[in-house]
Amino acid sequence: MIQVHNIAKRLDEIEALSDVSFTVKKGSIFGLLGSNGAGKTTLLRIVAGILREDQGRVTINKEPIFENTKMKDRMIFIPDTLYFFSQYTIQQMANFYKSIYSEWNEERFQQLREVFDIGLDKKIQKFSKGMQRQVAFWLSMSTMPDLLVLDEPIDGLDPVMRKKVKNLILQDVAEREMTVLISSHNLREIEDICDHVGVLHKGKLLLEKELDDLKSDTQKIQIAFKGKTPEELFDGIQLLYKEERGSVMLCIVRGQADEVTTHFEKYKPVVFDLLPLSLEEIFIYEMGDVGYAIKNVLV
Amino acid sequence: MQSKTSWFSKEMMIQSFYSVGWIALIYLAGLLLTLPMRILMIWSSDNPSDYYAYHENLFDYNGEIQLILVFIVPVLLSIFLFRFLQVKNASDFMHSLPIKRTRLYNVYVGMGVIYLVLPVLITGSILMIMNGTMDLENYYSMKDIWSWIGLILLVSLLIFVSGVFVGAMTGMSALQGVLTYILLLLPVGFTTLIFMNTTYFLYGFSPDYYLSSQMIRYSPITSFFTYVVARGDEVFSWLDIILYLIMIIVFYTAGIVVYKKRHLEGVSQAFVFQSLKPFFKYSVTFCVMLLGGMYFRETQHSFVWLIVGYVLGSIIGYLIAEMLLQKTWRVFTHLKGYLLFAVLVAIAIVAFRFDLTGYENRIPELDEVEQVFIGQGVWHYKHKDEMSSINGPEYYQPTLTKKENINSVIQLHEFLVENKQSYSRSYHYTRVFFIAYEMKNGEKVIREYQVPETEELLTYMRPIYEANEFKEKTNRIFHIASEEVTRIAVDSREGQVIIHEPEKIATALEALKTDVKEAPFEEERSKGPFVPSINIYLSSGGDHNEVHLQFESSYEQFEKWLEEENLLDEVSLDPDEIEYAVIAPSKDIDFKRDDAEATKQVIKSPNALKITSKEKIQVSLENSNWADPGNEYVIVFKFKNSEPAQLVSFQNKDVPEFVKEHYEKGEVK
Repeated sequence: MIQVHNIAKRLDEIEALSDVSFTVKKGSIFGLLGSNGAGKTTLLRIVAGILREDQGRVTINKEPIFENTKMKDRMIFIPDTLYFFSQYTIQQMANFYKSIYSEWNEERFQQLREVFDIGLDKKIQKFSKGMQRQVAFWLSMSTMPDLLVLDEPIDGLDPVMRKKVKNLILQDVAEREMTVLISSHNLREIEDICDHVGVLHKGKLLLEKELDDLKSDTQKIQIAFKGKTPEELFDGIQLLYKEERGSVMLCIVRGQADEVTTHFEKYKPVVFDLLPLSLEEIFIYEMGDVGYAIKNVLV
Repeated sequence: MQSKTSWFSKEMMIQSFYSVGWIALIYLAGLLLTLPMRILMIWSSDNPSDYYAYHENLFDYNGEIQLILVFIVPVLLSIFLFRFLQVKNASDFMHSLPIKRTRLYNVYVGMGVIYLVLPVLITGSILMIMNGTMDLENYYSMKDIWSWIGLILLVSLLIFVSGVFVGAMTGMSALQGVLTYILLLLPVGFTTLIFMNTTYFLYGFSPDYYLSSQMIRYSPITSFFTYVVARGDEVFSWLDIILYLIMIIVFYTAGIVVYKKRHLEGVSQAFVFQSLKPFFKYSVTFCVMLLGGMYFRETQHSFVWLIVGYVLGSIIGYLIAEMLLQKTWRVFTHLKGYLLFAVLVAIAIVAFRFDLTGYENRIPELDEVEQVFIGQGVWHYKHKDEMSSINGPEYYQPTLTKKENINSVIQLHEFLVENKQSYSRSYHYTRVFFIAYEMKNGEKVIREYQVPETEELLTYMRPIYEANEFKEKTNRIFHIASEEVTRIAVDSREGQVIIHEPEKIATALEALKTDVKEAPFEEERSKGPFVPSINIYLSSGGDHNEVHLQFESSYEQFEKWLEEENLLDEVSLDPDEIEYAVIAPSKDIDFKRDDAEATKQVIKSPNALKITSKEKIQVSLENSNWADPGNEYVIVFKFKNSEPAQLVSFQNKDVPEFVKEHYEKGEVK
């Protein structure tokens, strides 16, 4: 669905993005993680066809997105700071969307009214930030988009509403194979809905992985030997992290659980445990030194 | 998809009406109040002066208010319609919609055009209905309405599209407004600045030759202002109208091109295109520098102040530009660019100052010159071929073609160039020379000098101004035949002489022609208050059927002629008529009050010299000139049969010997 190929963008003499590439498949939810100033918003604005990349290519369904009305008609971008015409009510704004987006679904719009439970004749700008975000979701989902691009969407929503919004997104992904690109500065907020994650740091994409792969591919083990630790212990296995506490070693290694177990059992340890590993830990160890720099994004 | 397009336009129209409808309503209200309402007020007024007031066209009704509306409303519309370009949220929103930029642009420009056109058409229709149903022929005609509609639409649409064009380049609404006016005034303002400043460096450069009155046509703001306020009818010819239409299309198209290339990340910055920033910065620096230089040069008249103006102007301009670009006032450390600019300007100033272009020293060779015009300013040169000169038709053309006279002009020119240091432009007692050489190869060499009048200068002027060719071309008397003359009248304090016999007219005219030819040139003539005037009345010439001369003391032939006809006594002033005269040094007299007060002071002055001797009075009469505090001595004549006494003065070169003797002795005492 979305193909981002080697894009670079300078904003006001500062390199906002450099050499960023990733792919988002149809019907998947891609989470873009990064601390403030990492370049998430710039990347999303490029994907939404607002900004033009300096180098590289962004295509959606193999077509460049910039000034592409056909693709933009099938896509909604919800920015972190929302915009509505001044003095407009929800109904007026809906009329505007209806006139702009060819797939506007009035039935859906009426259905969602029950979910959000906000009066149609209220002026949107008088609402709180959270309410405005709900209106943005409401209007966006009513256009039946193929692609939803969300910049920090969960901010400002209360837990109940978060749940509702996430369910709405998941429902459309499941039913219509809607594709979602979502950014956040916090992994926990989106880990329950994303199937893919990319980490953006200082304009560069450090990592792009499928979450399930990541989880099953990294193991935390506790291991101890009677006497000397065999020197060739880590031969043939990728060690991400090692820590010694007396005679007990704590290691993070890459590999499926059964592979890792068989590997270490060979050396007959006195203690060998596979320990639970949180997603944050995986990221931190996976990315080595940089992992610590972006730790705040992960917890 | 296709059916969506019409809906789309409807919702966009609604949206644009919500955001800028108020401007259109204010515009409509303003136009209705200034025109139909005002006309009804005059129509129903009891005041006859209101009723009979003459109205040239519809801009005569509250023209100033119409002017303000036409200058402000289109710019406001361009700012508010394209506000979505200058606000980040709105810009992101509008550009994430499935609408191409060209479409957005056309829809909003179209809306702007509707909001500008509708109020004018509504007002026009009301005026037409009023014209058709009420008795308003004295106020305006249908043709007036159409030309009013046409002109107001032309100007307002041009201002609007230029505002839109600027809006596509800048990222700040306030700057969009300011830059729109700057852009519109730029053609006039920049050329004025350049030519005025060139004058300060190129000795002999004539700014007025290039800065013609036509300049006002280069900007819709100045030309519309002139049309409405000064009622200049030179503006808005068909050519102007076509040019305005072309400019409307140019700005509209340029707006689209720029908008398509617009980088949306530049929103809220002064310019969305990086490359425009240095251009803007140095243009502002340069223009404010020229403005500062011009201000100080025109008020202080010195080169040092000019440089002070440049330094202050360029610093202020640079800082303002930098503040706008950086969006902070703390820019005082970003001066690297300024230093580079200052060095380049300094080099340019030195180059001009030392005339590296060779402009100042260029004096044409005698053989190259076809003819030369010499006058007191560019106005005379530009109007030399026109029939409406104040001195009568076609007789004010000091274009010299005789070789010796061209040579005299070249001599004067050489003298002016060689004495550049002493004759730099100064303020008091100066004379302007406008010299235009028309060369044999078709080129023109134009120079203008404003120099102090000195004795030495006069020796160079005399051969030109006393030449027969010059006199014949500048005095109408040489172009009239005695058959045309109906009468010649000589008027003075004493009385009047009228000559109407054809034979006498012929001889009198010949005598006058000789006298005018022989007369020293104007600077050396005395045309005092007691000099009789001579009027020659013509049977032809229309509005210019009078030729006016003054019976100057040098006119010996005409004096002789009058004497032979026994007419001289009737017009010449007899010293016996004068009871006494009082002379006093000007420095004792306070001229700030009126002449009557000054006269009293002269008579009461402790240094006053009272004369009653007939000879002295005669000498004083011959040498007296109009009262001028700049002259060293003033004199009051008391006539026997009239009050009050007449206050006059001696030009410094004409002070009679007895006066000099008296005061020089007095000072010895």
